[in-house]
This record gives sequence, C-alpha cells and structure tokens, in this order.
Amino acid sequence: MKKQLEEWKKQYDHVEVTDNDLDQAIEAGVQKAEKQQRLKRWGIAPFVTAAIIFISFITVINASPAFAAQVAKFPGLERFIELVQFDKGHQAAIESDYFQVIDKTVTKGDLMLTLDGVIRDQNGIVLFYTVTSEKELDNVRLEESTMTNAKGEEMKQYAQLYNPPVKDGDTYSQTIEFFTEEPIPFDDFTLTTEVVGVETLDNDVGNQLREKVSIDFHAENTKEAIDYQVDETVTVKGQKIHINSVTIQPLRTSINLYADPENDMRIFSFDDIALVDENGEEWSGIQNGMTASGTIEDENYEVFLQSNYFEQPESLVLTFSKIQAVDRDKDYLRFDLKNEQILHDPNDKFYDMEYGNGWLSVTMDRMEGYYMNPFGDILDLDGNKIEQTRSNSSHIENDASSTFKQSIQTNEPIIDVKLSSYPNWIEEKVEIPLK
Amino acid sequence: MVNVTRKDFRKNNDAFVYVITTYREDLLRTAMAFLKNKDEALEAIQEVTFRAFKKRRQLKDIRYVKTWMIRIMINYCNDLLKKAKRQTDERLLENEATVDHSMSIWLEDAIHHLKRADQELIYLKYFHGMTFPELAEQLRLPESTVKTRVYSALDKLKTQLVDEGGELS
Repeated sequence: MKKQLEEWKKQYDHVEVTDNDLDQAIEAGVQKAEKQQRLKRWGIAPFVTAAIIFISFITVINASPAFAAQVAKFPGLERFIELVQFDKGHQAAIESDYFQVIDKTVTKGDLMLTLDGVIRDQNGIVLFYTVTSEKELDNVRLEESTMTNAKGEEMKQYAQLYNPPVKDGDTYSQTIEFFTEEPIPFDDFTLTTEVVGVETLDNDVGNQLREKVSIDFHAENTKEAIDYQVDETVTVKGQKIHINSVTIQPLRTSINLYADPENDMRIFSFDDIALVDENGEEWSGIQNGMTASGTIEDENYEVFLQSNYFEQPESLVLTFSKIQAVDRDKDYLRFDLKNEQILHDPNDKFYDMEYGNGWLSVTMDRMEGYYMNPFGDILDLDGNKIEQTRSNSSHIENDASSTFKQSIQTNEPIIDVKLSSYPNWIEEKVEIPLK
Repeated sequence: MVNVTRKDFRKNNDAFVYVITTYREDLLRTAMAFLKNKDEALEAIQEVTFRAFKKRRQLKDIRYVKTWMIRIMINYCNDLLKKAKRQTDERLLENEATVDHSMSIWLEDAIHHLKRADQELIYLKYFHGMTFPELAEQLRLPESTVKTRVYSALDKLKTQLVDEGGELS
C-alpha cells in the first residue's frame, strides 16, 4: 500500500507549468479578492441579491392568487417558492392542494432534517426537505438517498435527482425527485439518506458533518394519469418521427415518441416541444431536472414536459418546430489527439481543440440557449468503443465563446467521438391536436 | 517554515503573496492530482489564492499556513469535481434511468472517494510527506488520534481497492 502511495505521489512530482503562469494565477486571485472587497464596501453585491429574491417572490404571488393562498396556508412553504418557480406543474400541484404536508423532523448529531411535504403521482415522488443546524454550515446536501417501502424493499428501476439546496438564513431547502418506470406499488415510504454539511468555522476547511437518518411517511396517489393515444408519423425535412402517446400526470407530462432508425439524419433532441392550449399557453420542457429518458431511436423514448394536469383546457395541441440533427454519416467528431487537430466536424462549428492530462476541450462561438455537451461514445478508428473508467465534463461560457471539456483516457492517437448534441437544427412547425 | 509574522500575513499584501508563492508547487501538485489538467490547476491556484486572501484574518497561527492552504485546495477540488459529476450523473440518468455507481479501480479514485477529513490526512501524509508528529501539531490533535485516523483511512482504501477488484501488495 505504502509503495503504491509513493508511486502515486511521484506521478505529480514534475508538472510542466512555468513559474510565470503560477505567479499570474496568484496575482489574479489576489486582484479578484481585492476587487470584491471594494464592491462590498459599496454594498453593491448584497443589494442586488436581495432585489432578485424580492422580485421573484412578488412575481409568483401576483401571477396566481391561488398559489399565494396555498402558500399562506402552510407556514414554511414560502421556502420552496424559489424552488418551484421554474416548474409550472409543481406550482399548479401546490395551488390545487395536491401538496401533501408531512412535517416530520429527525435530529442526529448537529444536523436536523425535516421532510416538509411531498407531491406524489403514479410514477414519481418529489420530496421537499429542509436541513437546519445549530452550527454554521456550507455545502449542505443529501447523499446516498434511498426509498424503500415499510418492509425495506427498494423501489424498482428508479432515477434520482438532486440539486444543491437553497440557503435562507440558517435553513437549507431543496427537493429530491424519484421517478420510476413501473407504477410505485406502495404508499408507506422510508427515506434513508445521509445529511452532509461542512462547518463554516475554520473557513472552508472545517469538519465535515455527516449523519445517516431515516424518515417514514405515508403518501398516496389519488390522481389517475390522463392518456392520449396518438399513433401518428410526421415527416420533417424527410425525417420520420413516430409519435405514440402523451401521458399527463401531476408531476410531469411524458411524450412517447421516437425517430425512425432509417432516417438519413441523426436526431438529438426536440428543442421546443410543448403542449399548447386554446389560449396559447405553453407547457414546455423541464428546466431543471430530467428532460428525457431512453435513446431517441428506440420506441420507448420519452420526453418530459412540465405538467398541466390540474388545468382544464378546451383544446390541447402537441407542437414542435426545432429539431437538433445532423446527417447520419457525419454524426461524429474526429480528433487527432497528438497534434491537437479536429479532423472531422459536420459543420465546422468547433475550433481550438486541446488535449492534455486526460482532458479534451473544444470551443465554439457562443449561441444563446445552446449549452449541451456534444460528447457521446468514444471510439477508435475501427469503431470499437473505448471504455472510460470515469466520465466528467464541464462547460465554460465566455462572452463570445463556449468551451466544452470532457475527460477522455486513451492511448489512441486518433479517436472518433459520437455526437450526443450538435448546434444544427431542421425547422418546420408540427402540430398534433390531442383534444 | 516561512519567515513572515501572522500580522504581516493578515495586513500586508506582499507578505501574503510571498507566503502563497512559497507553497505554490505544493498547491499545484495537489490540484493536478485532482484535476489532471494544467489549465484547471492554474485556475484552482487562482481560486485558492482568492479564498485564502479573503479568509487570511481567520488563520490562527502562521505555523499552520501550509496545511491550511492545502486543505482549502483539497476542498475546492472536491467541490469542483462534485459539480462536474452531478452534471454527468444527470446525463447518465437521462439515458439509463438508473443510478450509476461505477467507480474506477484506481487508488486515486479510491482516495477521492474517502470522506474529506480522511482525504486530507492521506494527502498531507503521503503526498506532502508530513510525519505523525507534524500532523498532530498541524491539526491540533493528539498523535495517537492522528495515527488511528490514518490507519483507518488506509484500511478503507484497502477495502475499496479489494471491492473494486484492484491489486494489492
């Protein structure tokens, strides 16, 4: 073990970075801190933050008296206003009294976890929780969460989504979402999770607090799904798209559609897919969470929209007009890793390719609203997949450009990376009346 | 040990820059072990300088300054990787609708999966070569506690490596 640790250390004994680069980084860090101090003295930063929260609160309340009334009914629910502001479906569920109050708290060590309430439907459950502590904490979050029934059986085939909690004074609130493929077969749940936080004390290097806790709760689904069978095929610029069905549930709407595998273009996504009612009101894709499930040329593919379950529209139309796609025989990027060159790019959108220390990066001109990572499977030139032991990616947005980075470990000099997204669209308005 | 007083470190920008410059190689190597990328490591140096500068008044004793900076770096790198991983996990979920727990069999990945306090110990001891008495002094803990913690962290590493099918010697 010690020998291995020694070897591990040795790998990093010689890093090729110039002293000049290091000095510049240090200088930039000091300058940034000094600049921020100056701003603080003027009181600019705190004022701006307060204004944003204030405005969003007012907007939500003004937008819907019903929402305000519901929020007023449950003390503590205001905390979650910010969290549901990007999801019309979750807002409507609260307005329609479909938010089930749980209000159970467990305390362990210095951490206290409250399960404030849930919204549940047949295939999903969203938990609203709050963490509090006597100690001042940073980086509060839940980890390793599992949901079981009263007998300890775990939910089958589920996806779990976390977001970092929103801080308000000494409380941290957020939601965790669980979605299952099959209907959830029980009403008595146990949430088991690890509550984690880092003591602010001793500035950023404080102790990590971590407590494993469980909360039992009961939540029933009382809402039947609304199904629309569609079974239509539409053709956009020669590309066939099969639309099977639309299922509306309280937490989200799922649209089962898929691209025909025989198409001569590779479709990546339906960027503006939405449901529209007779007044032109739109329910579009999920802003902050799971947007789709499955692969797009498989007949089980589903796209998720914000739910309009609690509305009673006269008419409802499924619509989309922007499909992200490239020619099928050009659906990859080819990189010469050794000479840092892009050998293939369908429309020559990317430039400044770099590869070093296991990270590949490419840059493109910035496009408003386009920030999807283009990197899919990594292949050698014989088309064999190069397996990756880990997959990290990042995205940096500058004023005029966007840079995408992906961890890629390989010894191949030239690789192909299948596209999973690409800034090219075929456009044509499709409208399918549902009712 | 740097030859700067705590007062200078807190009040005098040049003294602060002098101290962090003294340890820049240590910070860089730590960042590289996490981030594997020169540019990101330099960005990390900038960010850690920023954080350390903002919090320099909270440093209790100038003797602890090297450990203090390395710990800020470890924390920063962890947060950064966590953010990147969260993005990746969501993408995986979109495709597979199951939670992916695949982990690397590498020692380094195993270290990065330890909890932060253990990670810090392994880094300080095996990466930055601190002895048990030094660790005890730096972390203000009894030497026996430090030893227990280091050995238990090593045990966790061994278990993880065995679980993941890695080799051991």
